[in-house]
Amino acid sequence: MARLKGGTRALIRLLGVQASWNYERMQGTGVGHAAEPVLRAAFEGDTARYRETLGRASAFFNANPYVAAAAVGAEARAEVDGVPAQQVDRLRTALCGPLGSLGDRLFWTGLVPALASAAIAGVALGLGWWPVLGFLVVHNAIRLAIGPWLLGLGWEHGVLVGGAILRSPLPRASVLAGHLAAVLGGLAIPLIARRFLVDTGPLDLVGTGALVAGALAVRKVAGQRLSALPLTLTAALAVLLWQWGRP
Amino acid sequence: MLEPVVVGTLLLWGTIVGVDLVSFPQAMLNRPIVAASVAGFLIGDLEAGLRIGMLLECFALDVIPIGATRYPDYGPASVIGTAVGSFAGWQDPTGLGVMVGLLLAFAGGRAMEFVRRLNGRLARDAAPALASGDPAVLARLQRTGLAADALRSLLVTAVGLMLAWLLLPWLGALGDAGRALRLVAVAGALVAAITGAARRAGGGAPRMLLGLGIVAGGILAWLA
Repeated sequence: MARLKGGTRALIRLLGVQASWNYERMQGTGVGHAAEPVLRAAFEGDTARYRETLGRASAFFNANPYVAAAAVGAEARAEVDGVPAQQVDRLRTALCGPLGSLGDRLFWTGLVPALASAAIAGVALGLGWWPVLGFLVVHNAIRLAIGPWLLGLGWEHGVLVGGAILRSPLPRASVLAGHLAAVLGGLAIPLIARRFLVDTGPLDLVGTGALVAGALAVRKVAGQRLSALPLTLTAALAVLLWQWGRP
Repeated sequence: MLEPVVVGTLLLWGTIVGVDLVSFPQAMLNRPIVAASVAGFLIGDLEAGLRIGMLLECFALDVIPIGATRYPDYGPASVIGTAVGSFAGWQDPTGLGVMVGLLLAFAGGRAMEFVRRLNGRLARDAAPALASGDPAVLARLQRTGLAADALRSLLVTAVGLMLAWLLLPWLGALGDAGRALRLVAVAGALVAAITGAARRAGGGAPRMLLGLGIVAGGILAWLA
């Protein structure tokens, strides 16, 4: 098997895979930019082939940015193996959904809320800034470990990368991350309430409880589109107007 | 009051965390609990940063930044919210800091859409060069996107700081609203944390684990 060259540069560029994110190609140009060092090394001396494959690598693509390395590796390998252009395009399209879903479950609804909730809980318990540092270190250690591994996995398996990812520990890890996010997300809620309401009187507690219950009821009726942000700002505006109007 | 060195540091930090949201390197510097804590440290009021960061983080947990969804930018907003909370001179400034943060997060998210449309226009203009595999055009698009996002983040932070500087003297008169604003902020944060956690958990085992987490958190809160 051909050795992967340009991988380090590709991984560095993958840190900015969404720098030119847009509604037309989404991450396409970022993925093309990340794949460029690998393709340049693979087709050294064959400028026409290098530019042809780079053109394909810059087309529409969208997945979770933390797992896009798998697509970069797989597509580059497919090009090196001489897979027909239409099949490379199909591979690229086919990878968007699974890599998006898997990465989002692993990071956006798993690790990130789990670690952020743990940090909230730690700070609420009076541990100072250590939980915040822990959040940063753990997230980035996992993210920086997954990138090279996925780039290598994509390069190793080429068009068969989908099956390789399914057989890897990643799907199981995404389920576990979701469970962790659920537990830690729940854990943080009473701790936040305690931290900010511990020194308030019974009237304030009842008032806050009524606000929470009212907002939850409004969200239940209005649906997910009405987030806590506008509801909170509306309530704050009412408080300020009331304060302003007082003699 | 805001010293020039502090202003410069906050502008730099606000720009870094704004770019971190999407463009580079997505290292979670943009998360409110991180952005606000560091802002608090830079101002010399870490405690304010941790307090405001914790509450704004609950709002951020209600957001799942998937694909083309539009979402608030809590990074620069947390920096300015912390600065306002620290310099307002209120006896209870946490709620004020959170509200300023929420307002700016909304504005920052809107500004992000402008950058995305600009990136789209540039990519459309460069479509023939991209199809022909021109590496220089690819690199230029990436650099321009990064620069546009940096400018957006800098502007959001700068406008936020300027408004804070203009409004701080007037806000003193509303200082008595501090406690009520804190309670509203806590209520909003709790609603965001509850709905965000419930939506992520969905049904089945995760929903049960969420319930277990709440019970465990309740016991911890009672013991602490």
